[in-house]
Amino acid sequence: HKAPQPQDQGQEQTERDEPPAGPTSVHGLPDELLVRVLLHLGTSLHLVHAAATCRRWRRAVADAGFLARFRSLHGVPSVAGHYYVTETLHPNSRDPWRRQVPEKMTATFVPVSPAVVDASHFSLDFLYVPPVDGNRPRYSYRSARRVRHSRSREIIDSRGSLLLLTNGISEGRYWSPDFIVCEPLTRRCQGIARPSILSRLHFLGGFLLDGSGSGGCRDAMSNFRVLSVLYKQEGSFGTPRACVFSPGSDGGWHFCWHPIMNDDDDDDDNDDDIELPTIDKIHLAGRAAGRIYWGIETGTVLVLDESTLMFSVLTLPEQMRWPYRRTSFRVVGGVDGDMVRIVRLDGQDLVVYGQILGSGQWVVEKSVRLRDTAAGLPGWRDSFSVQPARIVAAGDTFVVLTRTEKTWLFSVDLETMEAERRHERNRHAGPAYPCSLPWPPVLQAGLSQGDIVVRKRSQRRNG
Amino acid sequence: MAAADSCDGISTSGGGWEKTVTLVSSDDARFEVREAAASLSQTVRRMIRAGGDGGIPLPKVDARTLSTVLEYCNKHAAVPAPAPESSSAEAAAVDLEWFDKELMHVDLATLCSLIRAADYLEVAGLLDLTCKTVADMIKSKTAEEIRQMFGIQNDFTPEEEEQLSRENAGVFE
Repeated sequence: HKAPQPQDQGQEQTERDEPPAGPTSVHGLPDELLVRVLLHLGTSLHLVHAAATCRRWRRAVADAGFLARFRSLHGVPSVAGHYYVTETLHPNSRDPWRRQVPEKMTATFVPVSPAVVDASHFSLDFLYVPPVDGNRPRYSYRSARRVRHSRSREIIDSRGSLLLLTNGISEGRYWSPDFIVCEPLTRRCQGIARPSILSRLHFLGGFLLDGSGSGGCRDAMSNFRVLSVLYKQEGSFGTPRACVFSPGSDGGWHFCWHPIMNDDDDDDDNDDDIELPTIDKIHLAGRAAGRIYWGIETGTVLVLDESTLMFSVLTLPEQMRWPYRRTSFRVVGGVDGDMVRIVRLDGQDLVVYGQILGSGQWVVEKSVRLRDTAAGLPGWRDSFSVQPARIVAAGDTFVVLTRTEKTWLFSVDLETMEAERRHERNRHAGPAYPCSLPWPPVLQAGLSQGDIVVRKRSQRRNG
Repeated sequence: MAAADSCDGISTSGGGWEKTVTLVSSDDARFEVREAAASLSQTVRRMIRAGGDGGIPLPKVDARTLSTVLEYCNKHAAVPAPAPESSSAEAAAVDLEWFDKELMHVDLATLCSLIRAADYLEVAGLLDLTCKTVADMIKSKTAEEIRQMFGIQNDFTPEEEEQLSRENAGVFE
């Protein structure tokens, strides 16, 4: 069976002034030249549109050789935009209801380049669950807001084109959640039930990791892992647990029971778990150089190596420990992928610590008095600095801060230590999750078995 | 080796300094071009080496298309080897860019003829330029807009069309 050729469409009604599909039209170009044109399309978004034009174009774009060439020309898709999640509860760790989970609003997607990517492409409406079925409100009689789907499905991480969300009524960190992994652009999602034997553990954090599969040509929805970090409470202390979910028929949850390592511990025989204080004293502080960091109110830091899944405890030097608050301590990366830096708010001072290569000793890299750097900002008043500011979000190159009494956001560039207020990130009091266009693009529909045979044959011919 | 001078199609121009070659289009129009410009086409360059008489025949390119190709070649061959970081080289690059842009202000049929000609004549720079120009026309257009622009018939069944818009639902909404 042969797809109708455009040259044969003489009897088709051509009321529009269409160019003839002969040798002088794009469609009349031989495959090799059509491919040359399509290689110039630049983003996978344009590829998806072009591949919906007709069978011939779809075959050309879906071809593995074409996709490999496209990728080597244009690279992996860069970040298309960010999901900003705003916490409506003021990030004040001394809040009398500190045990209460902050209410979160629907995440807002803000494209990096609105000319290329429309925010509607990344809408999460497809995750909406009608309150009656999927989202039985526990306290509906107390607060109508609790039935919103966003209340029960919160973005907690992103990687490439994928998002990781918690699924179901969240009881904060006092209950380990179920998960959803989704790809907004293709509207695909997979629900992942929490590991049942660990369902009663508390929750320290969920993270997306790269899949164990090799090569960059695998579909993103089958090439990821979910890392769930749990906390097992025993009396007033507890121990961390890590488990990893991988998709696929041979996938599922895998548990890792590595004993926790103490950096200061020279006694190799001591394989007892190190005990952590209660979970409300432990807060996610950041992710850098393949490790995840939690700040602990006792002045130490819990570290999880993402590749070995070994926990360790880092004891910071005395001058870096106090005062510790959830909103005054972050771990970020640096320009160099292996770099780990600690950002601390110490009273009026924002201090960036780096480690000396080799010795690992922490030194002050940069420091600035907030009042000095923020003084030039429009709307800034000196009275803002009576109470210490709070860190709302942090990235490798910036921190977003707010004044304490009221949300008033500004960010400080960690290179220049200059404050600014105009950036998009200063409009959202919460973390930002970057999201990219999927790669490779999903192009399975409309390609029959016959098309694939034709494709192979033409590959042989061209190769 | 057949020396280029031995070809009839090659004569010395008025000043006597530059060699030229004669190219013959499919509709028998003859173009006398500087050899340096004509050599931007790898196909022509090989034919010059091989020698021949009565001009170099290019049976796959018509006169109208060939004249545009040669306009491109003349302009690009005139540019001296780039002297890095000199302001004149920078100005030349800007000028060339502007020239390329102007050259691409043609209709779609002409563009496609140029792509075929650039491919046949192996003028790498022009092939890139023309393909990129067509790609820019495709960018930010929906499948239906692309079909209309290029006169492509939609040969998907309605079911397939629904499937493929569902698998990238975010893009097609």
